[in-house]
Amino acid sequence: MNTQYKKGVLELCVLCLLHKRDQYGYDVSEYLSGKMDIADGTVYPILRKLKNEGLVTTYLSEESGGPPRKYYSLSEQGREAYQSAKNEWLGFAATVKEMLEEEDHE
Amino acid sequence: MNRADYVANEAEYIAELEKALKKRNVEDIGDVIEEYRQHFANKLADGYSEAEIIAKLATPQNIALQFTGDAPAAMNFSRILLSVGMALLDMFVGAGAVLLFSWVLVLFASALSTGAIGISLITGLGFVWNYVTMPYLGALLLGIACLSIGVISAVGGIYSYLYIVQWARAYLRWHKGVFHKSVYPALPMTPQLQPKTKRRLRLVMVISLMSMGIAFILGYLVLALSTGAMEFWHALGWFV
Repeated sequence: MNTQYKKGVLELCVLCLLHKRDQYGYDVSEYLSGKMDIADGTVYPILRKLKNEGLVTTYLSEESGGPPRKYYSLSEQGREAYQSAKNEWLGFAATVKEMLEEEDHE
Repeated sequence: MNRADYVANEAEYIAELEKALKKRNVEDIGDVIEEYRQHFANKLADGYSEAEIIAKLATPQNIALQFTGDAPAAMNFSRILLSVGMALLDMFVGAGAVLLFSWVLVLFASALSTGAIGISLITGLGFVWNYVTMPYLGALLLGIACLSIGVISAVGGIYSYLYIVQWARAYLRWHKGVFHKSVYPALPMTPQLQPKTKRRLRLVMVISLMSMGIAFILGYLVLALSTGAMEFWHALGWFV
């Protein structure tokens, strides 16, 4: 899959996963690596970028028997950004799909 | 893309990663390294071998590159100019925001006062009756009209408040984007309300507008007819 559009969409996917529930970075990474053809470790820079932009916050979980691990969570701003990015993407994808399928009917 | 050939184990990978991050002046390298260490730990716990983990990982150089996308740019003259310009703009926008919020306060104050007048006319309690006298039916109708105006003002206040807050958020988002080249789309300029909320507010507004119109017209008719004067307020001795 072409890497150019993958990059932007990956952020949207990360937001989508965090929108469902707070997660460890590792779980987000594993889920996306499983679903798409991306190299491991590319999700963590995305999580950091989202955190720097204030869309995502982190907190440590006190876990028994192990070092505290970092949970990622969507901030309110992140929730809004997710909704608008989601709608933008869906609209865009629908337009592209229509265009591509139109070509088949001509 | 995978460098299983030259990075032999976790320690080497982490070392290479640290080197690459330092070279690119990434912030909080310790944090980043810790995250990748945990990645290795979790993968190992899930049953993968170090070689497998490294094979699936992007190269340390590649990863370091991805961490620099949002690095704070160097401070140079044009950035300083930008900061000064933005600070000035912020002052104006801040003053504008205060002005806009005062408008909201005006609307709510108006709602309170017209509402109070309306209630006073309808219930006979309060101060309004010290200033005007009229047959009760007329008072009731005008009271309803006043109360409706109060509700209209309140709904107007709510809408204005929501719009202003949304503009403030959109401005702040844009402001942030100026310095960090945010990839995210600008926030919409209209408040994003639930359809249910929108419907309810609209319903309240429509009902109040109708009741204000009807009550006012009926009230006028009742008072004009009962006093036999088009300018019933003179006949009743108000404003004297």
